[in-house]
Amino acid sequence: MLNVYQPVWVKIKTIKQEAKNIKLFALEFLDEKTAKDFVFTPGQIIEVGLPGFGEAPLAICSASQEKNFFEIAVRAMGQLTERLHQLQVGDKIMVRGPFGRGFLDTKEKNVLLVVGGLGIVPSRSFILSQISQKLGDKIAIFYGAHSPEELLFKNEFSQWQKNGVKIYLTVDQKGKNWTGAVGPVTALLDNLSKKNITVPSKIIAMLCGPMAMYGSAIAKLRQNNFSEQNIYLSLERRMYCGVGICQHCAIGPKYVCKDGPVFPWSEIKDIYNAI
Amino acid sequence: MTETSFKKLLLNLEKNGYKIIAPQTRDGEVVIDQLPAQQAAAINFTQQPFYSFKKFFIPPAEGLFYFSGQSIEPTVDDTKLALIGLSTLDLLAINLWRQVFERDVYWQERFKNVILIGMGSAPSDKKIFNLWEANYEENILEHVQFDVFLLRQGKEWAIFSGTRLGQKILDDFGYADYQHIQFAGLIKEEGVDPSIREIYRKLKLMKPTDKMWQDLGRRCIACGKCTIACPTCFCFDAEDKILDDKKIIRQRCWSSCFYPEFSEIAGQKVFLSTIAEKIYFWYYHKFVRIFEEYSIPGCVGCGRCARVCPVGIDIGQVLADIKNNQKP
Repeated sequence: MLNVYQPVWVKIKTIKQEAKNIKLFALEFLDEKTAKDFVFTPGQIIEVGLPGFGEAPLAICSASQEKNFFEIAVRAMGQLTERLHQLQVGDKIMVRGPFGRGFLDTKEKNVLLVVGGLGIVPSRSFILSQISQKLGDKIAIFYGAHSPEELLFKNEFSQWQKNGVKIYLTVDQKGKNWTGAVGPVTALLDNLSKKNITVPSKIIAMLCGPMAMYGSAIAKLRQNNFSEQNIYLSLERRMYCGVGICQHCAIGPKYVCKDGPVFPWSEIKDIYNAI
Repeated sequence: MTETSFKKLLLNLEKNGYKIIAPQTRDGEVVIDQLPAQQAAAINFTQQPFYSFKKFFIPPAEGLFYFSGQSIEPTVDDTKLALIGLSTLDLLAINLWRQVFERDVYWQERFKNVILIGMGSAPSDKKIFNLWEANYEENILEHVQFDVFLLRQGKEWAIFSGTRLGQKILDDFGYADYQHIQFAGLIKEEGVDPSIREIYRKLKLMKPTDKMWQDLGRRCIACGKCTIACPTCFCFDAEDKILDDKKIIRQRCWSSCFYPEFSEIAGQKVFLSTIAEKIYFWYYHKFVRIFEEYSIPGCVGCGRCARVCPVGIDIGQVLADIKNNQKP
């Protein structure tokens, strides 16, 4: 019988210091069959682990069309993630998954991404996947970080823009050279029409960030006539199993690991404490 | 079947490599533990054991893998257990686990090596918590899964088989005077009990901020004893441990939704932050989430949670309060 808890080894292909405390790992499978079987949609999660350090659920941040490797971004903040930061190219990590439901396949629809902090990690997977389907011009992203230094993937922004992605940035604390917006990312949702972001029926909002951002972001999107079905959000919870058994990620009648982590707001709006 | 022949049956299982596990009285308390078949007469099936059979299906700590260098080696537990004296409530718990752990290879492998011999007394008209029907063992027996069930009717035993394995055990033993009960699914022909449906419907509409749950939140001390005693509480954590021989074991352990770290994520954010939220989560899991997933309640009605609760929270009363709640 298939063992859903069985991890497989992947090898670190490259490591990039993406920001203070955050490293980007490109990982490759050890054999072709495992690589071929690893099919994911942006927004899905994997369990990443090391013997002796347990596992942690993390989002994939590379394009789903990329077959030779996949990427994860890791912030060092616990035993496992601090150990991951000590690893070198060629070292091995264990992974299991992917699990759950990612962002929906938006095809021709316009997408407004509202992203805070580490929410950029799964969002990047979505952006790169859309770009590789020549759908970059369907995306606008509002991205807020604590400080300019904590904006991830900034050296990729010009490439995203070349492919049609409209990027609007904001930070909580501006540094010396920051000339952009200051304030919470949800403030960017005020006066949408002035930002040339029209809200026709074919636009979807995808929210990815800390829970604290969601209440205000949803309220503002609703004011801008986004329907509850057209607002998607990615939830974060403690998880062990990844397959809806261990109960840590349960919200109301659903499991974040299995039914999410991405949910349409209409599906979870009545669940107590979902956000 | 007489006491002597029952003992012979157990001796036969023991001879075939099965560990006999049965409820027995020790220091005035009914515990479930290994029992030499020779002492078959000591099986106490008339009183509810303090703890259920849970730990024989879901161990408090269970190895999943051994890690050593690059090797990832799944653990194997091939202990053969003959569990004797399961009540119909124990069998209802097994019904639920079979659903929950359907895709869990460790649970399934363990279950393959288990023989279930249920025991019960003659039909009673008892209602669980005075809320839902649980009468007539024979009606219940069609909706639980067991290998052999021994039903005491007065001084006689009526013997039933529930599986081909059960038939084989009885045949091999040379016992022919049994009837077979065909498993008819988890839910009775007349459908789920209306009380369970009503509790489901009302609880789903409630919130931890409602007065009833705020009051319970003030009484409950979040000790988690109910989750340990409950035969259907199966939440787990996983952790790695370094063993003496430098091998590393990944194991899963019982968890409890009452513990603070249960719902904690990076950055110290805790989703179940009040006791009212925790106790609501516990009831919601049993009577809403499990019911939606499997169409059966996540409570067998044993009442162990009430018995171990240090502040006297009585599940029967809580369920009656949910049922009588005036919200639509």
